[in-house]
Amino acid sequence: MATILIVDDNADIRDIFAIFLTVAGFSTLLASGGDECLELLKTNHPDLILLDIMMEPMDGWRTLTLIKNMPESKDIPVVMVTGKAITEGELQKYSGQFKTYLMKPVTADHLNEAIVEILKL
Amino acid sequence: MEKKKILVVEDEFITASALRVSLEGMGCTVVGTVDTGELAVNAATEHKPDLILMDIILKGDMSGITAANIIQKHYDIPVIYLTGQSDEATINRALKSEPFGYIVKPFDEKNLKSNIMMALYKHSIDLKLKASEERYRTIAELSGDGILIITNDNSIAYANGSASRIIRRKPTEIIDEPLKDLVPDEMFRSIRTVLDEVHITNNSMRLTQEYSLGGDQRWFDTCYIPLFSADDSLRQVMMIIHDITDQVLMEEKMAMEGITQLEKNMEQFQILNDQIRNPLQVITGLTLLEQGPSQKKILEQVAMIDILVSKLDMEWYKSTKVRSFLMRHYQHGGKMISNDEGRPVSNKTMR
Repeated sequence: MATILIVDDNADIRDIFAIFLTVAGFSTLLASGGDECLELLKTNHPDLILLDIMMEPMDGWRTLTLIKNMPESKDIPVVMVTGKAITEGELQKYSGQFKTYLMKPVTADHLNEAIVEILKL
Repeated sequence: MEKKKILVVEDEFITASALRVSLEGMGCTVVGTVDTGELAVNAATEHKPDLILMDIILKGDMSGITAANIIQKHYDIPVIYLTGQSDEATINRALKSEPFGYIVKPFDEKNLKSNIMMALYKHSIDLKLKASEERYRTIAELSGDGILIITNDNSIAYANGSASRIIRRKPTEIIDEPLKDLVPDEMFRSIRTVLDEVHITNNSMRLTQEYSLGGDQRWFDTCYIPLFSADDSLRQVMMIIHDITDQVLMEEKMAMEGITQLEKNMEQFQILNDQIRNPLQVITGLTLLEQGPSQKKILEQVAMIDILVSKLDMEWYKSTKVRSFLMRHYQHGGKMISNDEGRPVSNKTMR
């Protein structure tokens, strides 16, 4: 069973994604921000990370960079999940570091399809 | 003829007396009759006559020409030479002192009168011209804009105070000097190109030029105006140089502040849209999980709100004004990736 780490500062969204993924047969880990995410990755090795962009104090892009800098987490695929439109500049800067991005609101099917495609399940 | 004050400088007593009689007969006042150059200078200082009749050969060491030169250095008094000599060397020497007339003795009264009238008339015209020139010179000197007159061999015929401040040279170091020696090479080449163009087209030109002067970057709005001589052949070009550096720097500063403000607005916009989409995500999630009877309707309404938020995203980026402003001042358009429907692209798998 694949494990997905959900990183979002909105508790409701974390819970909803967790339910979506549990229903779809994944196990989940939850983090409320960048720091908690990095802390979790020291002892856990999820198969995929769903990462929100607009978070305080550490935003998703900063978190992404740090994930990719840590040897234990650098190979874990990351999917950006965002309510904010991604600019060309951000795409150019970070495109090598994340697999895809999903615009909120995202449906359960949509989320599931993206993960299945990346994990080649 | 109104009563004009005339000084007679003549060392021959008989001639001097005859002149006095003739002049008074014409209605003039003879303010003095002197017979040396030194006395002529003193009398001119004392009486300020309207005209001097000056013999060239006088008693004493000082010639009439020397006396006339000394007087003209201090006072604007017309001089008519009066002489028995008419050899070429003397005439040439006399001409150099710019006399208003030259009468060869013996003279008749008619000749004397016409010479005096001509000299007084010519002098009054000269005074008007001088006053007019003085007026224009004063206007040019007081102008806050730099004014340069450039000859067709690119040297400076005239520069006002502002022009000398722009070039950063003393006024005395500028006149008759080649422009090439006064300004940096790059600036000279740029000015010469325009001067050549004006010489070819005979048309005025106006343009804004940026120069590096003494380590400073300066911007000038400059008019090049061709000056035609009496025979219509172009000889000089007048440059009127308006320093717009402060204005340019202020515009740049405002543009920078504008960019900063735009960036702030954009960031606020992005945060707001993210904050709207979070509750939409919660509503979508809960609706899907609860499987209630209104699920379809609720999801449709959520989709409509999402489209509106996406439009806000896109309109912001697409705004032509903002985009062109960013392109001009920021060298990139802050472009966002979008699909044909205008919704930011999602779920596009990349490498």
